[in-house]
This record gives sequence, structure tokens and C-alpha cells, in this order.
Amino acid sequence: MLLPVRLGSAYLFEVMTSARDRRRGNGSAIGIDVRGVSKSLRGRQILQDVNFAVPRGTIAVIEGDNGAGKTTLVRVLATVVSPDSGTALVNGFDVSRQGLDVRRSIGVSFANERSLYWRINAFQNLELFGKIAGLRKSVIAERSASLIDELHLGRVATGQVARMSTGQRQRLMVARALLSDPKVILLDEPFRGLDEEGLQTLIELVTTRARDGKTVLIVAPLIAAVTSVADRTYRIEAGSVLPMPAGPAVRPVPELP
Amino acid sequence: MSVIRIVLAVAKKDFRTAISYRVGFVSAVIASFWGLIAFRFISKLVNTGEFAGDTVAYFRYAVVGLLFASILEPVAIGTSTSARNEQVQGTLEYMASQPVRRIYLGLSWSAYGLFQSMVIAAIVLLLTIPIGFRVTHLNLPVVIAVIILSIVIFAALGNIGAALVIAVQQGSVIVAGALSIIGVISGALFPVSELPSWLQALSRLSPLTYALDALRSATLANQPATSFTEDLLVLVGFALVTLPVSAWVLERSFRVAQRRGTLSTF
Repeated sequence: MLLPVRLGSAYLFEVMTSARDRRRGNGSAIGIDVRGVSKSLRGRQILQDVNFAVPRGTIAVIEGDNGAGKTTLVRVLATVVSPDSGTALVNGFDVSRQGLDVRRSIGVSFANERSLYWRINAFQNLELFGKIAGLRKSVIAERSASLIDELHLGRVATGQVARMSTGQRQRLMVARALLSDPKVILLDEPFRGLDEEGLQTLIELVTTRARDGKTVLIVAPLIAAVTSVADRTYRIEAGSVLPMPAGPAVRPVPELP
Repeated sequence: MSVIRIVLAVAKKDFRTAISYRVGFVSAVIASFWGLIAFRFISKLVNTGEFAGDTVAYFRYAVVGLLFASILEPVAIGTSTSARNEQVQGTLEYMASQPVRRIYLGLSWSAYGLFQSMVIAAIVLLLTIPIGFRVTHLNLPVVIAVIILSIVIFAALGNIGAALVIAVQQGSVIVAGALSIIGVISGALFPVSELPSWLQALSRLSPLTYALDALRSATLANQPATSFTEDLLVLVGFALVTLPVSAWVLERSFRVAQRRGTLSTF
């Protein structure tokens, strides 16, 4: 008599916990898990059987030459390009089937500085994307002020983005990616246009986030300063991602299953 | 509700962008009012059918039709135009990476255009009073219901235009063409009864026909409340069908662009 009740309870528990996990991520130690992802665009193979994983709380750097497929890889993880085959999990969510959950988990900075609204100022850009992310007004104000300060944008933050330099816009795009305090941070060529001071500031910022348990993926041409703080370093060549000799890890790296 | 939060956030951004170009709003008010002045003079020549014996009757008829169309046009065309602007500026791909349903993006793209066109229509309406416009009988609940339902229907049309932009980089021209046909067959400038019978049959497929019919009856004619029921029910039917369909089409267009990798292509 009790068997159907027990089975029913177990089923209900399963449904409820899976719904909860869908909201929070699957709780695995892996922030980004890419398996066998391939993508061709306009008849050209851009990504070829890409496999790599980034544990939570670590920084991974994928370096490669222009046209190697770095940006397409970030786009796949940000759900704006869908893979032809393979699976990519971000915070435990499948980019092909759980796009909205993936987008709730990530903060992304694309290489394209035109992704900012140039006719309004830095604070107004952050306000817009903070509201879209569902943040409260007070939280947006507090985090925006903090990020603008951390990234040394205070002097130009109240003028139109159009009047900023490339490096300043680059820093603003990183600020925007970090605004919602995402679990996974995807940065596509975030160091473009930055001077030495800007580079160090940005490295400190992402290192701090990784220490706080965030997963950070940076794709960029080879920059020694970045790979030195990376927990895992990969090279992308002709659409394939290959592990590189590890740099000096800044903290113990969790083992991959 | 998140849809309202997103729509208001994007509208605020568009407002800030619009005021960074200072002369646009004033120019739009002047252009809209100047366009209506011509109909004040045309009205003197129209002395037939329902306009017989009153030299401003046609002017009132045209003001309601044109101002209502001027509110709905930015809703429909504005959505695809905004989508195209986002595409060309380079912000579309980033917007697509945000934690928001695509239909919310579609609705947000027309929000500021709607707000601006309603403000302009209100100002122009006031300016037309000294030259002969007056509301003879006002049924405000019906007017509000017609405006809201029409906005939903035309926002859905706009979303389909935006979907075309996202999928094939074209859309505004197609929506503008559809609107010009809808405007002619729906009685924006002259009664549907003046059309040939086959166009009159076609006009029954246009939601604007029912909207204008109800709107004119609720502002210029003394009609009992029950006389609006059919028009309002038809508009509700259009809204219930077009909005979900447009949401599905917009979502599909994003998926097509994601598969082709063209969200950043223009």
C-alpha cells in the first residue's frame, strides 16, 4: 500500500530538486564543461571537436591567433551562436537547451566595443544592463560606483561613451560583465587597448573574482602577464583547443572528474 | 514584472539617446501638425455622404484616423527599425546574451517610439482644436481599450518585422509596405464604404478597420456602449492570436541567427 506513496514522494522530490538545481546550476565543481563542440560558419570549420573544462573558482586562459576560433567559442558559451554538435555546459546548464539559464549565470564581455551604447554615459550603460539583469536600483548604484572606481573610470564615467578611449571602453565592458556578480565570467580579448596599469587592474579584478568562487574564462592573444595568473592555459589552433603547460597556479586547482 | 522592468529600462535608454539629439522632438510635432493643416482645407471640399453639410466633419474624421495611425506606426515600424539599429550599431548580439526572453526585447524596442508618438499626438490634438477639431461624444473606456488592444496587435506586427531583421537583415521596408496597405483599406483617411467591394472584403481582415470604427464611434458619434462589443471582441481575438505567434516567430529568428552566427552581422 505504501509503495505507490513512496514512489510518488520520491518522484515529487526529484521534480522539486531538479527544478531548484535548474535555477541554481547543477552544483558540480565544473563552471564550464565543453565536450566535442564543433561549429562551422559559412562553409568554414571554425571549431573542431573542442574539449575543455574550467573548474569553479579558477581562471582559464585560451590563447590563439586571429581567426583561430576564440571569439566563436565565447559566443557559443554566451548562447549567441549555437554549436553544430557536442555539448557545452555553463554553470551546469546546456547552452543549446537552457539558454536563458545560461544567460542568467554569465557575465560576458565581447571584443566588440560597439556593444556599448555610445550616446549615453558609463553609469547609464551600467544602469540599463543592471535593470535587464533584474538588479535593484540601489544594488546597481552601489556596484556601478564600485566598479567604476576599481577600473579607474571615474573621470570619464559621466560623459558619453563615444568620448571614451578604446581602453576606457574596454574597461567599461568588463565592468558591465561583472555588474550582476555572475557565477561565470567570459572575457573576449579584454586587454585590447589597455595600458600596463589597466592590464594589472583588470588582472587583479578577475583574480579576486576567481578567489570568490567565480569561474573565469579569458580568450586573448598570448599575453604573458595573463597566463601567469591562469590556473589552466589552453591554446586554440584551427578550431581545436589544446592544453598548454600549466603556469604557476595562484591557488590549488580542483581536480576534474 | 520583468517585462515591464525591461521595457522601461530600454525606453529610458532610448529617451536618453533621443535627447542627445536635441531638435528631433520639436521637428516631429511641427511635421505632424503641418500635415493635418492640409486636411483642414481639404475638408472644405468634402461635402458628400456622412460629411455633407459640415465643412469640418471630414477634418475631424481625418484627425482621428491620422493621429491614431501616427501612434501605431512607430509601434510596428519602430520595433524593426530599433532591431536594425541594434544590429548595425553592434549592440544586438550583446542584448541577445542578456538574461531576458526575446519577446521582451521585441516589446522594449517599440516602447520609447510609442511613448514619444503618444506625447506628440496629444500635443498635435490640442493644436487642432483652434482650427476646428472637437470630440463630440467621448466614451473614454472604449477609447482606452481600443488603444491598448491596437498597440498589442501592432507590437506583434513589429515583432515579426524585427524577426525578419534578425533572420535576414531586412524588415522595416516590409512592415512599412504592409502598414501602407492596411492604412488604405482600413479607413484611416476615408470611409471603407468608398472602397470597391473586393477591397471592402479585404478591409475586414485588418484590425485597424475595427479599431478606427470603434475609435470614431467613441469620440465623434453618440453610440450606445453595446455597439462597440463586436469591434472590441474582434480586436481581442487579433491580440490573442498575433502576440503569441509573433513571440514564437521572434524566438525562431534568434535561433536561426544563432545557428548561422549572424547576430553580429549587418
